[in-house]
Amino acid sequence: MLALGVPQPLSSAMVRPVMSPMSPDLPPARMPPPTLDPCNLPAPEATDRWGFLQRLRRGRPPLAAWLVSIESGRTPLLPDLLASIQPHLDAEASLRLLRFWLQDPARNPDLADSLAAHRDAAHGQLLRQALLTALERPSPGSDSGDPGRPADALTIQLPPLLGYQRCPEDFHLLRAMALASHPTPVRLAAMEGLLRGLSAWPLQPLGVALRSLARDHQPRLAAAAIDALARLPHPRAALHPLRAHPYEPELAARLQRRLRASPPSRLLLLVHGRSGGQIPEALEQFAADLQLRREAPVSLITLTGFQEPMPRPTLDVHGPTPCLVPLLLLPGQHVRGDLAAITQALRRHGSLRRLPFLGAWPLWQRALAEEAASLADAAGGSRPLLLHHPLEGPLPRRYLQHLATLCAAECVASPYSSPISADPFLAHNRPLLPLVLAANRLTELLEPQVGSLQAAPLLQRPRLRRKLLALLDALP
Amino acid sequence: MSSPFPPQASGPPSDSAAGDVRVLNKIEAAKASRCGLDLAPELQQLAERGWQQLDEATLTIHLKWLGIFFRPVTPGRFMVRLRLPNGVIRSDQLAVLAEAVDRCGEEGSADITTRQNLQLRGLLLEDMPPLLEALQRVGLTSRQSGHDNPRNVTGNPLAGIDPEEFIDTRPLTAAIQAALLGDEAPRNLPRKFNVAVGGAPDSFLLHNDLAFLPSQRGAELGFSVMAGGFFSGQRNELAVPLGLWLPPELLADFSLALMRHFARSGNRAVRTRTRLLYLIESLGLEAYREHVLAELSDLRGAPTALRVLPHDGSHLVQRAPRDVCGVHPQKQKGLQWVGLNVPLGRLDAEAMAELARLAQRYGSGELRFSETQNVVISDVTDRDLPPLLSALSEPRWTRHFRTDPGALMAEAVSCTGNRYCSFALIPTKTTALSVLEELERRLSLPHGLRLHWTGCPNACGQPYMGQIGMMGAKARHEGQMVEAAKLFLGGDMGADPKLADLHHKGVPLTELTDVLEDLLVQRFGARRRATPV
Repeated sequence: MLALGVPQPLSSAMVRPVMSPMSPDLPPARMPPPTLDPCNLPAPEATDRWGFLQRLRRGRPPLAAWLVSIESGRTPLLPDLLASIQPHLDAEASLRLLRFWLQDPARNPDLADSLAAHRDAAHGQLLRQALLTALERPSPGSDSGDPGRPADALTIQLPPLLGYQRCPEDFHLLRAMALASHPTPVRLAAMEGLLRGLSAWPLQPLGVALRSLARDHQPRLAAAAIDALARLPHPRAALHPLRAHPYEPELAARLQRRLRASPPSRLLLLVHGRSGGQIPEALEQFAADLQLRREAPVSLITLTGFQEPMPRPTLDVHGPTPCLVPLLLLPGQHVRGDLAAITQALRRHGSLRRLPFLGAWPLWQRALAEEAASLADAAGGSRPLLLHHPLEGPLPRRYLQHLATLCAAECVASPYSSPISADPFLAHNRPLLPLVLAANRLTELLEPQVGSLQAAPLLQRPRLRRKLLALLDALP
Repeated sequence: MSSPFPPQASGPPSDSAAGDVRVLNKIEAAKASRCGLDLAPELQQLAERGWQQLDEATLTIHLKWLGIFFRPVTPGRFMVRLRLPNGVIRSDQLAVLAEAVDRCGEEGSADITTRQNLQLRGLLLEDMPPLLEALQRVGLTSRQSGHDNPRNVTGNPLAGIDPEEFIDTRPLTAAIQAALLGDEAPRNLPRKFNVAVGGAPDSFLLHNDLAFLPSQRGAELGFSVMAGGFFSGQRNELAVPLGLWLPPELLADFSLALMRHFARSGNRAVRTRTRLLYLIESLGLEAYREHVLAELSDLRGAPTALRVLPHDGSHLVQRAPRDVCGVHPQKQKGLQWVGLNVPLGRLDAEAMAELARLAQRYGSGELRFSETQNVVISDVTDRDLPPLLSALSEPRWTRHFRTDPGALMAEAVSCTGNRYCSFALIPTKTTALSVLEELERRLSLPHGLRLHWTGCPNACGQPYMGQIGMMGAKARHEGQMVEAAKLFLGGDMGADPKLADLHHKGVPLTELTDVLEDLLVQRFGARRRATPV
């Protein structure tokens, strides 16, 4: 006996045993336990069945004999038996049991999930084929395509299991089932299949399908789709537009909860600014409006005022990664050179996501095109002029050609220091669209020549301002 | 104790006991192949790639080291079990869990467990990286909450606010958890390992592998060590005194030393004989005690081990656990706790969020879970009590939690049942709920009664601890095989604890309400209401 901490030996007599062994379900001590053969399985109501099944689960049963016995109908496949032999099933054995279950007209629906626990191509193929067959099977006494008709049980049981298999090819089937006019339980089952395989599906079409399902008239489907969208990358971008949907209060509240859990990131708007880093009032107001709308911080950084060292941004270390949004309209030197340096400097303060410059956003280009079309309409079909700072190099040239084509406009370089004379264009009723966000020297010099409407920078044009607000509001 | 194993030679424990398994069984081989904790950095990647990349052992075993449970009954929908030492949780933590469950929609729910813990159901693997990150952010963890690991450390659910407590168990359970999950702790035990600390006269804990019961030694308050408690389908034992007494500050080190010894010396060959009880039996109680003390001496030095003193096993636990439900004064003047019955421990997201809100608005933001699967909102002032009770009495919440449950519902305990467990032979929670509601309608009882429900002989619902225990079964009834329940009677968690005995081998569920009604009238003083309510 070691003397550690126990100066006087203790005997078992000093301690009071509180309880004696109790073994209500154990077989008599001297009886050898029956072998793990199917013929020895006690009946479901027998008191020794559970003990046998536990030995079956932990032992080394003759698996082939069990499979044959089950397939021949001699041993009913009950949930407790399946739970006990499941740990011993290899892929082939699992497939046999799944096939047996699918072919059994009196199959126990409670076994479906446990039978499809293996994941491999063969299981996927078997489940897919069974589901397709079940979908094609007409329901007795009902018209095909009637959403109210009773569904084949397999069309409800199998989609979640197929999703669990995560074979990318099954996305189309599950999506089609969820979107189609099947009975609601079938659509919900397909939705559950989509959820269980979520990471396996192609992101873009998945997002499209879920956004559509989130507006479904069936609230349970819409709720599941909202929850699924919340799991995709950058959920806010997908969830935010749903706020405009006329949901019932319960779904609207669900959407709000998902949005609350996906807080918007802080936006750092990089703008050109004026000399000395001065920020035009229109940009400050725009940033304030955006902040109010996003309910998240929005900061302005100017190219003209940017200098290192940057003041350390006050970021919530647990919050989403802040996002640098270059509100630059053209692929000039600022975009090609300065932007990378500024991003690098900011990243020294922590992680940062950087978006492409605004002029490259297709949705922004479309907004410019709509504005140009509107100006052209107002001017009797005359092609607008897009006034821009002079740019050099092949990339800017290609960009401007693209913009001119998209906007059915003409791009005209106009230095800020000495802008073009507007007279000839005005004489020909050519509308102007200066490619600047806020007032600068170009617009100030133009204004006396063409008036405030024609010289208005883009943020003073209501349609474009609204569009840009909406685009930035929808950012993650 | 009878011993299924030949006694080992006394002396310092061997380092090779785990290696005695000449051919590792499937589970031991999987555990030896990698530590589940190593999966943590890969989780994001796994969720993105899809867990079809995971082999079966990773999916069904290793992920449990992160508290993530693959459920064969709901493949693709996972469970996460937390760790809540002493059952304490803050409202901001509960709100995070409510959000996680809420996004699981109809598949989402949470169960308060009999270890004062919470487990979340219906989660997708894609939910795991953000959930585990959120848990860390709010100071929670799900680490090592399943499989062969030290499970949630339980304590007095009223610790720190209990006018009757001898000692606040919260810092003790927290210290034990820190030690058992710390760098010195083994990551691969032969089997699960349950530890509990009692702090009050009603701290019944003898179902644990290791329990510390408050005990006076002269003028000093410390703990008597009880070991070897174990419920299973094969065998049920209450913990017995190990003959040692510890000062409170030694609980964590002692638990760690005992667990290290268990990891090294416990049987790993036969899964049904791997719990601590079997190690104690194989060594004999006295030799086992020496081994543990030697381990403590190796771990912390002889002076520390010398502070562990011999003891006769007596302790201050004198009666069965209190019903925590209702409004009760705390030991702090002007404050009270409000105990809420959560029927059979099941919560949905909405109820979780509301509990979090109520605790924040009307209490100090702290909640506790009890082993009876109920919840306590603590630190409610006199001023905040009426509005809290008013909020709780709103009809939409009375289905989820009540301060004045019936005598049968208040302390009813249930396992998960066959909705989530493939072994359960009956739908335990729904059966219990409907039977109890009907019995409450028909009967009035002079006192509370502890009814424990479990779905199979694995006894997760602790049927042997109930005054009445129900265990799922199958029975022949009118020529058909039907769902049924075995009945156990006589469980006692008081001063002279006793496990319940089998009373009936299988009452069909269709007759269970009537059978229980008669039983309650005949044996437990229930009276039939003239008009059922």
